[in-house]
Amino acid sequence: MQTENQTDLFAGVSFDITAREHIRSMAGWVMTGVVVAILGYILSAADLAIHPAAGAETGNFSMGLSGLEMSVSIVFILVGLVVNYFLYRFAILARRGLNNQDQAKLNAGFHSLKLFFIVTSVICIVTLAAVLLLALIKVFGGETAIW
Amino acid sequence: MEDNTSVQELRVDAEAAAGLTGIARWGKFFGVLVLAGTGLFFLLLVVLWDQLVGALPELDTADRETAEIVKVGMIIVCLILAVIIGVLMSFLLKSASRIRNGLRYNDSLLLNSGLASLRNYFAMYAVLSIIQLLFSLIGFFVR
Repeated sequence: MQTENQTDLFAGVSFDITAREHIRSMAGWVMTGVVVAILGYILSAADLAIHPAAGAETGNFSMGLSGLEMSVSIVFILVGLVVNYFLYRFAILARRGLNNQDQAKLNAGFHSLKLFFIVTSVICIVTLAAVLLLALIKVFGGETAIW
Repeated sequence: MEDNTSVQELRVDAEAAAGLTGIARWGKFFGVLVLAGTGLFFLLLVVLWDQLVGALPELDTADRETAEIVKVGMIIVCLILAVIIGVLMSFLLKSASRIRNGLRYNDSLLLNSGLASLRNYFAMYAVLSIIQLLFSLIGFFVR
């Protein structure tokens, strides 16, 4: 009964042809972004394998990746894979929902997109906090060299 | 006729509305966060500018003229990045506001407009990803 009432709240709104085209197109672009991101991660992984840690140094310019850079790259790839998983799920589920007229799959797709924004927001907060902390240490820490 | 029937089948039910509202809410939060982060980055750039510029001659043995070009280049790149981020996040914030209002006032046109903005956001995101991949490829082979 409650569900019926909730459904009635949005009785005037439906996914018409325009909305469905927008969602379909969005899913296409999202999938393009995911494929490109995965290719980027493969390239980063290849870069890590080809240019291993503590490479030959010429003067002040390092030709290889330091241990810290390598760790950051690995974390970056792992986090990127998690984030792109939600986008992939949205693209797949939304497309299937639209093609098969499956409301449950379309809703699951929206849920995945919501999770994507939640996860990226949390990552953004953590990154901002870390940058702010490092900057404060740099500004008020005097001689302590962080970067 | 068949298409009209199928359109009737996909409605904004309570679950879809909850999902879309969540997308709008978290999308807006993310957009504001990114804009705040960009602002913070520029603030840090201004505060730490002297230290960054001071580190340039140590990194590079180029003469003063080249160092000046590098400085101007850095400013231009930062401004371009700020504009790109601004446009990208404007799409996201616009979509969040329109989707929310579309659901609140049962306005299909507003909801469609919000979905179109969200599509533009992801289209720009994909194009930027492709450009970034191209730069990464160049870097990979040049290194």
